[in-house]
Amino acid sequence: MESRPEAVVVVRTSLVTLALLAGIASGQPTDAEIIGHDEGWRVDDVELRAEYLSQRGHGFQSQDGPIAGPGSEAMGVFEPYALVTVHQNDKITHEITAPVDIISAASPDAVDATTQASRRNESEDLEIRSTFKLWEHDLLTTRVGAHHEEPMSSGSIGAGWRHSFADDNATIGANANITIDGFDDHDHYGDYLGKTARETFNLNLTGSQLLSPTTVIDGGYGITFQHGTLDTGWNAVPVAGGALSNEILPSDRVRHALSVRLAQHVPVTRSTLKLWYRAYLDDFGIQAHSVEVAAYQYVVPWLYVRGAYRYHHQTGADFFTTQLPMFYDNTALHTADSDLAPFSANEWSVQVAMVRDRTPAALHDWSFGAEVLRYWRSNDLQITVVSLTVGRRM
Amino acid sequence: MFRAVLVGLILLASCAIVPRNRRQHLADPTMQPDEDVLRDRAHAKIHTAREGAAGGDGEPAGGGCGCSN
Repeated sequence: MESRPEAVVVVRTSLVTLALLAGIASGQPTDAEIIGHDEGWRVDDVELRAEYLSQRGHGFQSQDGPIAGPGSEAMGVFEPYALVTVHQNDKITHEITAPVDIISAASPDAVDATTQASRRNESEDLEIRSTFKLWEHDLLTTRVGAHHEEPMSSGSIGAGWRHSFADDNATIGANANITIDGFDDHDHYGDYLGKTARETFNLNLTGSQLLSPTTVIDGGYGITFQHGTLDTGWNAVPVAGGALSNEILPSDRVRHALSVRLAQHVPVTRSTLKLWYRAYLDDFGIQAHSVEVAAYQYVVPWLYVRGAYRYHHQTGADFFTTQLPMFYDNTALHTADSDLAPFSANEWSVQVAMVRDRTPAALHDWSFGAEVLRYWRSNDLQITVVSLTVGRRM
Repeated sequence: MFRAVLVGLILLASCAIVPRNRRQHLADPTMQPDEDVLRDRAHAKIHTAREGAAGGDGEPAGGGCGCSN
């Protein structure tokens, strides 16, 4: 017979063995057992941005002026945005964006004959971007969007994948998007010509790489194919002698865009510098180069000031003109749209923003920001934008 | 252009590894590519509505085709 201490040891050993066996039987601990129970659906963050845009300028496509042009492109836009970040579970999050444009006094007068689009127009967007963390190094993203304004409705879907490797030092990714626009076709007199549509297919390849403990580079290449009615029906083209013609664009367009961005943090001064470059070309004959430099400076750990300057230069479409000859070929391509003209554009902006995760306790997870932006083109277009943002982490 | 991207990726793949415990500055909010989503979308909308060379990289097509706004 075993002594009493030996019996205690046997009992304890048996209990430990049973406990170990029970643990093995129940399998590996789940994520919920390690980090706690996931409460499921919840709103993580809400951010609102209210923006007012004032535009002045002239373009030869606009009929808001003398027949020989250029006509006015003046307009005002009030644009509230909402961004809601929704957590579904530890692998799935959703970003819901809903901008609304309220546009007044835009576009030429002609279209007012059949629509209200140039007097006052509201447009609404809704976009849902979802992120699925498939595996430790792979993300799947989806994008669903809808747009509506008086003469047009459109829908878009997209999907993407991103893979990180080398201990998350680098990522590669690809995404594809399809957009279909359905809209009323008008001629430059504002006459309704029926329904029409265009389709856009887009493919992007992206990548990023950590270069040092304070430097990261990222970039991408995108190709887009458009097919359908690409012209804006009510855009006019002045004709020598005082007449107007309609705009005629190709029914297909292929576009290429290549961009690269370098970000450098400077810990000593609590600053960040970003340099961005983009090259573009398409089969309309447009080539463009854009560069932007942005500097961020922390004032306190939860508040920074961002200043940015952007320069853009583009050549015009091969068939751009500000005046057709009196005896022109009305089957040949032509446009007077100032967006397709050769021009240079300058832009500066100043923004004050709070870092949501670092706001003082007194603000109770609220954050505020403001931005002023000025944009001007060499072909007579100027824009001033003032915006305010407010956000709350829920 | 495709060849330039390919060469760039090969060059980048040879860059030094930054260990996780030295990434605190890379995690700064201002270093994130999408540190202000609404601002970036608002700026993109300004450009896509007015520059024929905007778009082509996942954003709506640029001005001159009547897309979106």
